[in-house]
Amino acid sequence: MNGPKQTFDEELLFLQRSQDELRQLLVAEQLTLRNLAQRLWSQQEAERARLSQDLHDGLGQILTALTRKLDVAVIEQGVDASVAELAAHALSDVRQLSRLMRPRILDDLGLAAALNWLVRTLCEHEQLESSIEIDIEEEPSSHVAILVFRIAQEALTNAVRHANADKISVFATRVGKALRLDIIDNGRGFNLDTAAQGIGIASMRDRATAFSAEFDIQSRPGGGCHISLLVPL
Amino acid sequence: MNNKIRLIVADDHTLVRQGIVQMLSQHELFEVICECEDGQSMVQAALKHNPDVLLMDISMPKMNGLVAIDKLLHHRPEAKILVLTMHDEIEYMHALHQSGAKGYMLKESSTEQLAEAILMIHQGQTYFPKVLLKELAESKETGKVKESILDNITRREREVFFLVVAGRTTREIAELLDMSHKTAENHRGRILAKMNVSNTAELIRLAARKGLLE
Repeated sequence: MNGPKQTFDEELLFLQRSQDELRQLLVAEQLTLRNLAQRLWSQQEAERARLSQDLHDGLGQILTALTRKLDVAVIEQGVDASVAELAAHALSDVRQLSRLMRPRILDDLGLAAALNWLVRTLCEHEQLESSIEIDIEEEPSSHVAILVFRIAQEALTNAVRHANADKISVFATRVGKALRLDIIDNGRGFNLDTAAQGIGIASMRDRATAFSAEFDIQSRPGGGCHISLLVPL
Repeated sequence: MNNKIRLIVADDHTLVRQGIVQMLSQHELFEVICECEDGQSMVQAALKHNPDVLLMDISMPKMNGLVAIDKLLHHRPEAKILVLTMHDEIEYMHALHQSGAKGYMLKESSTEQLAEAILMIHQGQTYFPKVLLKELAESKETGKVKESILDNITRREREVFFLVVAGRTTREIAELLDMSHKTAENHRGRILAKMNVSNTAELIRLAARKGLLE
């Protein structure tokens, strides 16, 4: 005999079960999406590495040969020295582009050296003061290292190119079982709600989320910008 | 009697390596006894042949240069390594200088420069780019970079350092770090020299002053 009480209990149990199932499904979907996002970012890195290698080995080698020939021509045939300088300039630009696409230094020397290099190369020809403090103890796994490097690269490029900052500070420290990155500039800042700079920020945030990292950005017009990233190790 | 300087050349770019080897073989003072194309085989070859000077690239497959240097110096602290690379960035120079390599040279250098570097390193001197020496001298003057006394020593020496100041004997250190007694003693000696102290007691006092005692 099914009383109304029993029917109600059964209904409740059924609803609870289907709710649990839905929750599990949602968690699984989220995990799949996160894995997919991670794979996409890794794929992009691999693609960039390939292009970087092609640039270095192809155009880079041709320009190296050209520079050498022009150097000789300047001395022996009185060719205008500015022509050789132009070729040397092109070579150095190609090398820099190749390095930024895939920082070899990250594989060779690790995150600390790569961050030092990044800050130096992006800031050395600019009218700004930069400081960097790194205390990360052990080398993180390569996907953490490349995440931190790419976020730093994006944030520093923004600060140097768009923010008109004259002071930039970079901190990378180990905090418990996480790695923390802070990039602070004193540039013109911006309103977080307007889309003007939105694209770079959205991609930094997406990338951080894909690797379960926390990403935070604080800025206001005239008030500089502070980007921080907390990556679990 | 063969008095040539015995060399090992390690570089994964076959053409580049062959070019270097050919260049060196034409020199009356040098003899290339072995060629390697990755970090792992370089370490094995160096342990087997004990070359006078080892010429190596940094970016190599299987084991990158920095790890290979660490590994080799762990077994042969007296090994003389000359890094031969395409990287002209100062960060590479600093890292390799700290790693315990004796010299750093760009691949585009002339034969004469390469020969000079090998001879100097063979005689127990070092050979690093002027731009690095200038930075090191400046940072020494201003005291800016050398904030920690540990910046000056290699990773392996750092491990030994902490065991020494923790009161471990050389024999214990050798056992703990899986190295010979002689190697441990060599590390200890080099740490004392680099930190400019004459014995373990002074080293411990220095560590205490710098807040490095746990």
